[in-house]
Amino acid sequence: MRMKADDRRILPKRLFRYSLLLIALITAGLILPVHTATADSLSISHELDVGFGYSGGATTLQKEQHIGSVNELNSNVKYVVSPQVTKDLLLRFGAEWERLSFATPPGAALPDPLQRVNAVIGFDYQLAEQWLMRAEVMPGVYGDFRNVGWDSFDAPFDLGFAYLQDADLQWFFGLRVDPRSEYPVLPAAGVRWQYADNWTLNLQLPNPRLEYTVNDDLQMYIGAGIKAATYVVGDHFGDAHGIPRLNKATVDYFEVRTGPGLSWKVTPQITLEAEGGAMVNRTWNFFDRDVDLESRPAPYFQIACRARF
Amino acid sequence: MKRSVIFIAFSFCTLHATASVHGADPVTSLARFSEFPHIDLKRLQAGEILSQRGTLMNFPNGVSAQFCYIVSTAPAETARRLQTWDPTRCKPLKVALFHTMKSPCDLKDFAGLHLDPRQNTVKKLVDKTLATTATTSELNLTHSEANALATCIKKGPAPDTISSCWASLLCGRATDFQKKGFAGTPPYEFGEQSPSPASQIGSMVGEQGRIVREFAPVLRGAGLIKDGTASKALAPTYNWSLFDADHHATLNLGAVYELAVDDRYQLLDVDYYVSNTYYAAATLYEIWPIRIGEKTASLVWRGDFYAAPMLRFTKGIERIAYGAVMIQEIKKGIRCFQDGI
Repeated sequence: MRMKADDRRILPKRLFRYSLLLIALITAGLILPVHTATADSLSISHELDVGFGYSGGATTLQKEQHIGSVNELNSNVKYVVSPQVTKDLLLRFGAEWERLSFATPPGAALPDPLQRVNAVIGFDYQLAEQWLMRAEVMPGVYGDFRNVGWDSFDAPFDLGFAYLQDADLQWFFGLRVDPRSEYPVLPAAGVRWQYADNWTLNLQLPNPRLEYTVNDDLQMYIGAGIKAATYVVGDHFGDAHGIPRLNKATVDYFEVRTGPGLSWKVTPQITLEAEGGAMVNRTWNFFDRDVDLESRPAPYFQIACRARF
Repeated sequence: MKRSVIFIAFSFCTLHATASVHGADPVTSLARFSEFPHIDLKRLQAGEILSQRGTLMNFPNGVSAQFCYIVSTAPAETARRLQTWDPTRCKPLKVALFHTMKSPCDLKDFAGLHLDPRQNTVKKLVDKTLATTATTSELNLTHSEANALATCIKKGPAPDTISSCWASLLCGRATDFQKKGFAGTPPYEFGEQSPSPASQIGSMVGEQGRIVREFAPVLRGAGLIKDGTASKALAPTYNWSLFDADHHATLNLGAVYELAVDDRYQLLDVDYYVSNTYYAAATLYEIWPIRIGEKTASLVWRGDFYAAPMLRFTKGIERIAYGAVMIQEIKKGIRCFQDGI
């Protein structure tokens, strides 16, 4: 099935609109730390993450039937402020927005967009000399934003532990709890190991990487990226797509990408990243309604800005 | 309060260990100025190294940590060994070269300096050296040092040439320090702040009021405190070394001051010049005699203060992690020192 002609026309407009948004956010990210740094507030730290990506048309199957080629635009912004309240405890408060927008072939049961707006509430704590922990709940609206109600509310919870063996080796353990997901508890483990002067195996989810340090400011890497979240579609999503049982359905979205990238430390506080490669797999799983869609590999490109100040 | 006294008394009885009757009781002293209000000597005797990450400093470039441990030699011997201990024998510390220097020093003191760019970490230092001009450098230099280094390396990029250029620079810095003390540590003039190593050390240590009071004798003797109190200037031992810091080869100049105070010893070990990676560092030691069985051993408190440019931008949980990792790295050195006795 071919992509709608309308979508082809809309795509450049979308790209332009999101590019403007991203430029505005990156500009804000670049300006904000400069002003804040003058205050030299050590006991409060700030994190700002902005990202924008595009995946090219990917052959997509619904119940093993080809439904056409689907491309994707994604954007995300996350801001967290972290005041240190004791020597070992930092609180975390913030907000996050992520939008995944798909060029949807007609008739396909593809929610467009999938979007979340959530708060970030948590803390970091030094449990013991070599152990750090982070607990974070992300309450907010997770859905297609057609009919926002209590059904769209979710509050996934992340719990992570880091064991700092020494300067070159750290271990990570964690789990994500999302009662709405088909897999409500997902454990994970990772490691960061700088095994040579310029090489670091940084296997931390959701972005495991093999990193090569070119110089103090530039890093090259090859790695993967995972996007995963659970959403609830609108009251009439199923009706509109000819599958009424998908009204108010819960969908697990999962995406894996892999490819090389560059990370450039523009200033000690701001890092820009650009990467490209293959979106290897993407699924929309309406797990309790027995409907799932899957995309085949397609090229992707992603840029991101991280500020810590 | 009573409970802590009972606890301390119990620990002493169990260990058959008695602190010296001369001077202050070390456990009481530790409680007064350190982050160790209660120590279990039994655990220390078993080889445990107590550690505490320092509290957040107002000084944005600084991080600190404290340690407490036992060394099996008597305090005088421990103090002597701390000044002459060769860290190249401790592999985890990644110290490639360590040499003591005489005073006044000369270029012969740096005869062992050889920068081999075939090693990745040294190559980074060599590359930064070769990229240095009179007006730009990523190294900790004054403008005149950068000019001299840039002129010197024009002789050629051979490792021997670069090594001898660095030897001249280090010898000049060491000579200034030997003549003028901390007043002879010119600031690093590249970058935004132009920090002086002496001011970095002074700011970090100066924030710790209780520690400054405890170590006032040795800090005065070293010239870091000038409060009008008469004190004899201490003659330090001098050293230089080449080591890996954060996977970057780094050259440093150090001085260790020792002062006997009653039956205990105070030491101040400073990095008064560092070529790159960080700005300056200071380590304070207090060493008390402690009886373990029939033998006199040393109860050592150690405070480490470290100033680095990137710490200004390392905040939140990353800064806590930085402090925690710093503790693990310093513990490696302490264990080597204990094992070498």
